[in-house]
Amino acid sequence: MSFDERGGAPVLRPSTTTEGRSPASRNGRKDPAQGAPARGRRRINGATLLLGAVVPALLLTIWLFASEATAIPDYLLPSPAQVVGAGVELANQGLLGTYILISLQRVLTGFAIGASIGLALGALVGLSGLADRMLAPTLGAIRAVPSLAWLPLLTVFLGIFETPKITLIAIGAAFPVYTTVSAALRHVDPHLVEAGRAFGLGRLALLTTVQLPAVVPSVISGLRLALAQAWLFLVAAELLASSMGLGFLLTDSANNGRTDRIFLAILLLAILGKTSDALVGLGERALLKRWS
Amino acid sequence: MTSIAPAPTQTTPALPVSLNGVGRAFPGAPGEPERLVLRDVELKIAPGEIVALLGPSGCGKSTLLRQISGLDRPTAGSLTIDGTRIAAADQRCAVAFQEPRLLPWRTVARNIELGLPRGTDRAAGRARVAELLDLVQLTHAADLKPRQISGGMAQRVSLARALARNPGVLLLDEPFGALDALTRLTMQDLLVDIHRAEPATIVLVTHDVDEALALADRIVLLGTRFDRPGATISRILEVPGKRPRDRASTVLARLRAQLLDALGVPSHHDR
Ligand SMILES: Nc1ncnc2c1ncn2[C@@H]1O[C@H](COP(=O)(O)OP(=O)(O)OP(=O)(O)O)[C@@H](O)[C@H]1O
Ligand SMILES: [Mg+2]
Repeated sequence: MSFDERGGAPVLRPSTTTEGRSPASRNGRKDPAQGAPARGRRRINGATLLLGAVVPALLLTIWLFASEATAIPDYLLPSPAQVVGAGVELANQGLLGTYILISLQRVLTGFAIGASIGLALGALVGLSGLADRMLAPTLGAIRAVPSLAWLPLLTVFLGIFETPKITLIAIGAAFPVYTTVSAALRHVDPHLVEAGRAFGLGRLALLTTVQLPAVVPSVISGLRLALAQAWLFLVAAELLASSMGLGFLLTDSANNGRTDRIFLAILLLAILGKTSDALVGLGERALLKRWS
Repeated sequence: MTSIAPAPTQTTPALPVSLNGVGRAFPGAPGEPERLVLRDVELKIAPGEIVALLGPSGCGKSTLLRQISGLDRPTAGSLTIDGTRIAAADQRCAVAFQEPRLLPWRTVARNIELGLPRGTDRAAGRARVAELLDLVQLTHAADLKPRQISGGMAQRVSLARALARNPGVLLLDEPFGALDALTRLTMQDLLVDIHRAEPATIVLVTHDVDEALALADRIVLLGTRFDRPGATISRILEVPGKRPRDRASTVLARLRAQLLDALGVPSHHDR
């Protein structure tokens, strides 16, 4: 298993948000192409949805074929029907909804806490040279610790209840936000900041009028990365120390040889992760329309 | 109610500017000596005067403007506005930068709003912005974002934003550089009109000799002597005549030839 805690974080300038906005081109003469919607912000229409569904449909067909028409035994590769059946069975026991809800609750709580902390730290380090020199090395070192290393410690310190899991998820969610926001604040176009100063904006007014709006796109992409990290850390926490949730469903099923339930858990994670990301994506569109 | 209540758009009186032996050196790359860009700039600008700064690219015109605005500090000499030292980002000045520097997420109108003096009340501010939009002929673009307008339009927004202050000292860094010839002439006439209505002290950087001749009371040439580093004032020319001036007059033609000579451009002028 490879937990890629740092993988997501350092992506500072996703093409969807900063495309075509280098300081040089920002205010200068623009070529007409820049007026067109940027690549990542294409409209979603029927054709897009249909194209996006091609690969899942293909995979489903292959899966159906492989499970029904080949000699691979069911305990290795259950059929789609069996996986659905496992879902129905769990739902009848009242476990499916509980597991989904508890996992969702953990992800959202941890994400909210972590993102807030990341935002605060990112703003502090990005805006203050002193805070940067004082905090950045420590935070960098904490970020370098693989997520699983925290788990035993958190379990000992905080018991085996909700707190350590939420804390772990918050740690995971905080860093992408911290990294993107602090870097973006440090790189706000100095020309714009100077213009703000020239027109009489003080420190606070400069922050709210120039610096924060300038980093809105980075904040959003940081939040998206943080949400992905939150799901990652959720499963890490539930795999190792939990008696409920989708991660627990994974370990429990592995121990009992219930491959159908493992498939179910993975599918659910994919659907939940993609859905939550899409929801943030909707918010992103609205915000980017306003702030760019 | 007595008649001394301030007018809604209060005009700030034009202020005198004085540059006393101003020099600016930038630290060089590690291991290199510092680089002297400006030295010994000595200039007194009268209230309401229009001074054009002319000089080759990279000689330090923008740097000199930044000293007057208080956005940068000289490494030698001192500057005053109205007899007092210039503060960091001095609020008696308004600047139109060489680049438009508009906030990309704000509409044209909201960008101009940024230039209003702090504490302008909403209604007065809105009226002033509408008036300025009309002045720079951008009423139709009021609700567009900077990425939706052309470079020349952005420059006019930047000019309007600087005018919004009603400043005592107006600093314009190549304000008409990105405009087509016709709009440029219109904008120059506009500046003359504005100056007559609200006579600020104006320091205007330009590369356009004719623009300097049309607008300035004095043209200040910045240049570097071959034998020592740092640009300084190499020549000051008084431009005669009230604005608006006849652009084709023979007096201006003779001055143009002199200026081009001083800038090292052969003027092909019959003497
Ligand atoms: N912050 C800075 N650090 C180091 N050098 C600088 C800085 N700002 C300006 N310079 C140097 O000062 C010199 C003058 O720059 P400035 O922008 O004032 O030129 P300019 O006369 O306005 O040129 P142009 O007509 O091309 O706009 C340049 O050689 C530039 O490299
Ligand atoms: Mg310049």
